[in-house]
Amino acid sequence: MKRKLLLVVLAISAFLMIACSSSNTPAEQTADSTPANTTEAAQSSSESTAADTSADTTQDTAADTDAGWHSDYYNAEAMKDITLNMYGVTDTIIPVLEQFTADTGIKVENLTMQNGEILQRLINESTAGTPIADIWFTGGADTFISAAQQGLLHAYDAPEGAVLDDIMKDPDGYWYGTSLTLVNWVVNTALIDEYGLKMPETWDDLLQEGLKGEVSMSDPASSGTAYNTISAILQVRGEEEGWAYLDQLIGQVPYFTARGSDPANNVVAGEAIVGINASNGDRELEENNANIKLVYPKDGTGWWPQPVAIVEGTQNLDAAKVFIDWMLSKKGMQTLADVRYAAVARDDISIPDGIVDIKTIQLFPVDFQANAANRESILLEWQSHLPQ
Amino acid sequence: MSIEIKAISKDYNGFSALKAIDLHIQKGELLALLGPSGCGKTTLLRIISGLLEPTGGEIWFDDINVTKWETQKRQTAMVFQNYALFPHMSVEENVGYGLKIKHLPKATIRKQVDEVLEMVELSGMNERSIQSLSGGQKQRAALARALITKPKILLFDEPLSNLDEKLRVSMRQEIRRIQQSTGITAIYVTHDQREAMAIADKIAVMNYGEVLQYDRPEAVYHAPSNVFTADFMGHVNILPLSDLPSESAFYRKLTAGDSPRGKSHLLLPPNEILLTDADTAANDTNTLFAAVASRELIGNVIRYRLNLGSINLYADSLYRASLSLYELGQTVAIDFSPNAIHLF
Amino acid sequence: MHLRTPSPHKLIYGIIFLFLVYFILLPVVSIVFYGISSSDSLFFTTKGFQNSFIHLRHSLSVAIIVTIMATVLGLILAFTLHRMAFAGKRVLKALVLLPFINPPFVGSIAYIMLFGKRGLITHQLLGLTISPFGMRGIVTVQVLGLTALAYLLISSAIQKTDISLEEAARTMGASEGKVLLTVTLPMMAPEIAGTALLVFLASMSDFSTPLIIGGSYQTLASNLYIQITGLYDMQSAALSGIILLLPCFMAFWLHKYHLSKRSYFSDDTTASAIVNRTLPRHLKGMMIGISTLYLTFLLGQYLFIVLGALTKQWGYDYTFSLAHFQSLKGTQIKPFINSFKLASATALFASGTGVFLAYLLKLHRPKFATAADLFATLPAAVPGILFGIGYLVTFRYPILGIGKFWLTPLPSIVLLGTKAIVYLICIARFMNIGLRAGYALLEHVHPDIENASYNLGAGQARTFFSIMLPQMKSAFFASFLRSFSDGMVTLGAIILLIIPSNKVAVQQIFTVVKSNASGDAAAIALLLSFMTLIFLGFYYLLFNFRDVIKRLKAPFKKEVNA
Repeated sequence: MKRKLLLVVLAISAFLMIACSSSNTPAEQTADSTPANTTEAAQSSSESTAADTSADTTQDTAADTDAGWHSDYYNAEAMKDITLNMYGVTDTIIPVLEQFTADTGIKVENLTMQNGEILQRLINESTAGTPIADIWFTGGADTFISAAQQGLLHAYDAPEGAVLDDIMKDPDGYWYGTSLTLVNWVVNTALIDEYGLKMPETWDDLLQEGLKGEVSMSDPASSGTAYNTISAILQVRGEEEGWAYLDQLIGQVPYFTARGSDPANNVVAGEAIVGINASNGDRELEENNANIKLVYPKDGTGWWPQPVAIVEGTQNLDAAKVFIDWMLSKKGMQTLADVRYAAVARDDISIPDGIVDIKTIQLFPVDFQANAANRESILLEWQSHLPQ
Repeated sequence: MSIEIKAISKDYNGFSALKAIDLHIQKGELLALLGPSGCGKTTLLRIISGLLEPTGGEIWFDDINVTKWETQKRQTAMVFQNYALFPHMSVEENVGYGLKIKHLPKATIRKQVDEVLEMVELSGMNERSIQSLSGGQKQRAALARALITKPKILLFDEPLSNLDEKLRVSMRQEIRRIQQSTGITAIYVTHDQREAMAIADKIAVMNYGEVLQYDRPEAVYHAPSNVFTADFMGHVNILPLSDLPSESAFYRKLTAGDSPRGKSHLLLPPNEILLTDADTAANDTNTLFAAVASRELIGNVIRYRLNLGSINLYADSLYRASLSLYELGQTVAIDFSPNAIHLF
Repeated sequence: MHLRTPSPHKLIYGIIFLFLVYFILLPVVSIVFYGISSSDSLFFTTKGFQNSFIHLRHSLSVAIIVTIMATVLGLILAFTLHRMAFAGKRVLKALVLLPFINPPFVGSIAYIMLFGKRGLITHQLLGLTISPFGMRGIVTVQVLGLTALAYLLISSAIQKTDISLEEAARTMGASEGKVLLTVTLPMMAPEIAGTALLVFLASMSDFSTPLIIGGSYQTLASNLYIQITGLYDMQSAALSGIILLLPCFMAFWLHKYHLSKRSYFSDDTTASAIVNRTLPRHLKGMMIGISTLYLTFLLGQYLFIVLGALTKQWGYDYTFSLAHFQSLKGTQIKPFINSFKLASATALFASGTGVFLAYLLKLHRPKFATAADLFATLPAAVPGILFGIGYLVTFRYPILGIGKFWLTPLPSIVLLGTKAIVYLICIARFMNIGLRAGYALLEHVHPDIENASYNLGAGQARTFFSIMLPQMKSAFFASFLRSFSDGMVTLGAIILLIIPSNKVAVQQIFTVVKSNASGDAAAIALLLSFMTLIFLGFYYLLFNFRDVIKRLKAPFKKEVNA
């Protein structure tokens, strides 16, 4: 008898668990079906809210300035129960999110996926009319550009955005770069010594005989790192010379890994000697492994900004704007630089120890819009250059 | 081939399933191991076949000690209670199995299968699947499969217990016929005392891992050496001598034939008791009177339960239409020959 | 076997049937339509076709080799551990269940570190320099994991076999080898085929192993994931998904309608402790040797993961360090709670429904019983990630699809993006475990039991709750434990459906595995497997509450009596 009771209790509790978790959805839907979420409407409504509570806001703003950040849309009282859903490609920004919550009281739930998965999800959620994510933070610039073109992002003219370089942001305000991702080489120095190889310094050094089958690179079709690398090479060297170089590089790579993070893992595990990798500019790999050296090629390297953006259709537009404002502020960028050891987009931030000084690195001039626009044609061409 | 079982014992985690069994089976004999379930009879059979290893003791086939031999080498064929026919093979494949593993030529196998199927009256059933056979046919197929290897010893593990009464009788006659015609030494495990008596040359009555009596069927039946055997063989009038007042006329009559010294029980078959009307009987001190407590018709026999003082006694009399029955509570005079009594 | 079917039963059956159609059949059909409707997909280029068939060939090669190896190994293990007596058998019996609480994904990493180009064993110890990537790696890792599944399934078959058949063969002079080949194995053929099928399907649908150690050797399942995440092309993924479905369905159909027809198990066996003592010594030694070797590998891999979690830099710097567990503090605890909730709730519903459906289908034979059985078992043949795509393309439209067109004024309920969809897909996927457990149990329950209860005057509800339910609970418990441990590590089906607020631990691990923090991954994975073990134990105690109490009380009782 007791056991029957137990089962019933278990069943009820399990049912409640599901019921609770899905209960907020219909409400969201109802709100969603009213066509009030155009930019103007949302903005005007939030402005009126700001006007109503002007006394509080002024006080907050004063405090905010001291804290190193400010947002016109911030309302501590109204936003304390808000949870922002966030998509991103890395868990390492969790401490940044925690700082944001500490500063604003707005909670953030992040889900970490791959670039393409995020894009695919945004498309699906937009088709379904149920946007889940409010913000998208970290990922490849080309996916953000692609998302903006498909109408998946919400444009926001962030005041702090003016500080950023033009190349670091979308002209229409769909996304803003926060930190830089740099293409670098993870090199296993123990193996370089063992095989008596020249420590690679330029892209042509990757073609040396001893590195045949020892260069690890991800598949540009499935990895942003590799795609940005080859498109940068093509842009810098020109079509003809660029493909000629890539043909030789293809000959050095035993196989193209599925994910951008694989080459670094391969080099650390000794499965390859040089890995073409993407990094925030931190030296963590070097510091943890005596045999690993991070090399930034002397003749230039690929890079892209790690953007942050608001997802079109969000129910928490104001809070999302607060997130952008905070992220782009000195406070936000400093937090990002400190906890993620990242080279950030603002140049008025003190650079923490253990991070590479961006001024010492030769960056390829990159046209991100072209990167995004030419993706399909470059990938098709790439396919034809692979050994059959 | 003769079988010698010497002090065979089998322990399972401290429980003695067999306690130093000694038996000798002559060549060509059929021995029935008789006893209730759990008495150790199947365990003994499996030890003889080599499927189980004894804890102690020896098994000899003729003058060879086979205790350490594995099953395959012993050439004992077993017929199982659940037939143990291979369900994924046809009748012919089942029966021919023992020859096929010896890599005999196909034609030879086929010929022998046909012969043995004829012997068990299953001719023409070669291609049938096992599932399509009736219970009796399955048993015949299992027997055929055991016979085809020309075993030195045939072992039967309650082979007929899954069959109905009528089929059991005809099958046991069949088994007896085949066993005698082939002259193979056989051991037959059963819990049915009539089956054992009908089929066996010798019966070993077992209980709690011991052989209580080992003798010819007639001896086991008519002269049981212990209460268990007497009871198991179906006897009803088993009286402890201590229950009988030694001064009574009944005691005197019972013990007239044989001295009861050293004996504890007596056996009086109910059919040996003669009943007469109390009125017509001689009314002297030696005449015994009893009251009818109940009666029961078993086929052509009427069995009376009689109260003789504090003693319960059963008496059978043949039913005849002309005979009038004794009523309940009626007093009858009883008589029997002292020779009919078995003391043990 | 037609029983009176109480009307509440009919109602519940109707609901379950609708669930099956809507949450199993519809998504599977949707994948096909979604895939075919994409005429401009990359797939339709010759290159796309070519690639898909290369991946299919890879999938099939791996799956066939893994199926053969894992089934044979499982057989050897099952025979060794159930039919032989030797010292240390108990330890091996416990070890063989390790993969069921194996920390997910990190096994592949351990493999690279042990057997890679510069692996501890291959390079440092043996001086070899061979690439671990590719088919060899996938096969090894999958065989290590799936052998345990094969062992478990074959063990239950061995315990059910009628040993008197083997004894009969033995008394006729068949050697142990002959007995095995001509009697034991043919008798177990249906179960072995069933085992092989499950191993085959598991191998076909495994996307994470090829992803991590496949190198350039990617299979259909892993390529599906790459197509979605890397190529942003879900329609091509759906199309290759159809190609993946074909061999799975074929294997499934072959098994269901051809191999599993015959069943040879006797109902009265006492096969608790059979020991083949007459086995030739060298054969016995070989079997124990193979079993020990396999289990040593397994244990080695496991310990190596523990080592990775407890040292500074896994694969490189083996100084003791708790850093990875400290960095766990940063990881939120919520995904673990979510995992537990998901696994418990879905195991409860899936097992309950599955066992009840088995009862309805077997004893009451309702309308469309064959269809219901087919739908409920369908997810077993659909790789998880593909099933996930099916959910994605089906439930991004408002519920009951048509609502979108003619119920426009009403708020539409879209399942995509809710927590419920993750629960629903897991229930749909795990229901067949309960169904199979229910079928297996009902083989031994005579339908007249129910009639007897009616005959004695018990009502329908009472009959069900007091007679049938207690009979079926053991099937429920078995299915619950199995679904729970599966649910804790399930990823393929839900990876495309989870939302930020209900992300699960296994997804965390998968993310960390991709980054360079393999030590962290090992630590989280160990934590998850430890948690699974604890809760499995907890549920086990819960289900066997009375027995456990009895056993605990036993020593005291004796004292009282004395």
